[in-house]
Amino acid sequence: MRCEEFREAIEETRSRGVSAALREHLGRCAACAEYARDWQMVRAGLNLLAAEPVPEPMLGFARRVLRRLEESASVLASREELLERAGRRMVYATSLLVLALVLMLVLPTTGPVRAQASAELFPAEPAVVVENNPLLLDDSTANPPLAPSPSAEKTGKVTQ
Amino acid sequence: MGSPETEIPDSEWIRRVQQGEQEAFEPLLERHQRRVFSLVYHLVRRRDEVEDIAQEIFIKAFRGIRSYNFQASFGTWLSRIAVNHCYDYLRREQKAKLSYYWQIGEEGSRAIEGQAQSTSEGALSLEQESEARELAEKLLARAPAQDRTILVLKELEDHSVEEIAAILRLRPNTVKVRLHRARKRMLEDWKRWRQKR
Repeated sequence: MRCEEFREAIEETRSRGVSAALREHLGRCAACAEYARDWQMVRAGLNLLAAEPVPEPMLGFARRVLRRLEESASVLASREELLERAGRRMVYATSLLVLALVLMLVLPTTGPVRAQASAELFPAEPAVVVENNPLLLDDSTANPPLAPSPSAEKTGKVTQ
Repeated sequence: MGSPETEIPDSEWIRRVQQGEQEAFEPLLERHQRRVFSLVYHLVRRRDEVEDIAQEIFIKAFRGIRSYNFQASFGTWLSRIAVNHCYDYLRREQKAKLSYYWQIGEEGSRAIEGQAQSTSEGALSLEQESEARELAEKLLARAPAQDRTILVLKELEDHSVEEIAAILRLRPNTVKVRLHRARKRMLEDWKRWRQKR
């Protein structure tokens, strides 16, 4: 057996009693003998602590715990109620908001107020300048009649 | 013969509490309050705090009783809550102070050495007893929270390794190893202090 195992055995000597092997080892190993002495000291102190009277529950301890439970339950209930009320208000507010949005989308954008509001929100698109855009120009604008040459002015012909 | 209430097993009261009958918690409280007081006192070592801490433990137990699944005994389950609660308390306490074994007074050291000698010789005087008790208390108070918990369960509460394993949700072999390490650390610190003297 190793010293560590002997030391574990030393710690359990109260219940088992010192075995012959342990006694022999303690006679040979000074470190384990010291460990045994130290443990004996500490254990004696621990035994005294264990024998010390423990504080008894005061009369009505159980009642006091139950009262605390009731109090905390009522606090919890009021908190839940508060949360429920806040939640309900939140639902109402959300419903109102949704309703307002739906109304905004459904109702025609007529009337002086809506017209003005929609004009602010959706300003009219700027007129596309078609003057120099060849794609948007119609035939008449794309191919303007050439200016009559001074000779054509005279003859009345238009050169292409 | 006991009253009808004392004859009803814990499991019946627990079921009633789980079904929402708060009053059914009272007999459980009455039945297990001493166990909780003892454990709290041994772990925390403050008489003025025991009742408050015990109350908090029972409140925690009440709130968590729906999770109790009858696998361990109610006493073991309650002890687990108590140990965890006290462990957190000790961790908070130990963070707040820095103390070492070698701060134990010279007088106290002489007392415990004298007491150890007397242990081998026979009975202790009253003075030696009180000094030795005080020293053991200091040694325990300075142990890390984890060591202290396991030492208290074994040395002061006198639980078996199997019971400690059930309370701490560990395997019995792990408990044995941790117990040995805790004792060893305690003795090493004690020795270190003596060498510094």
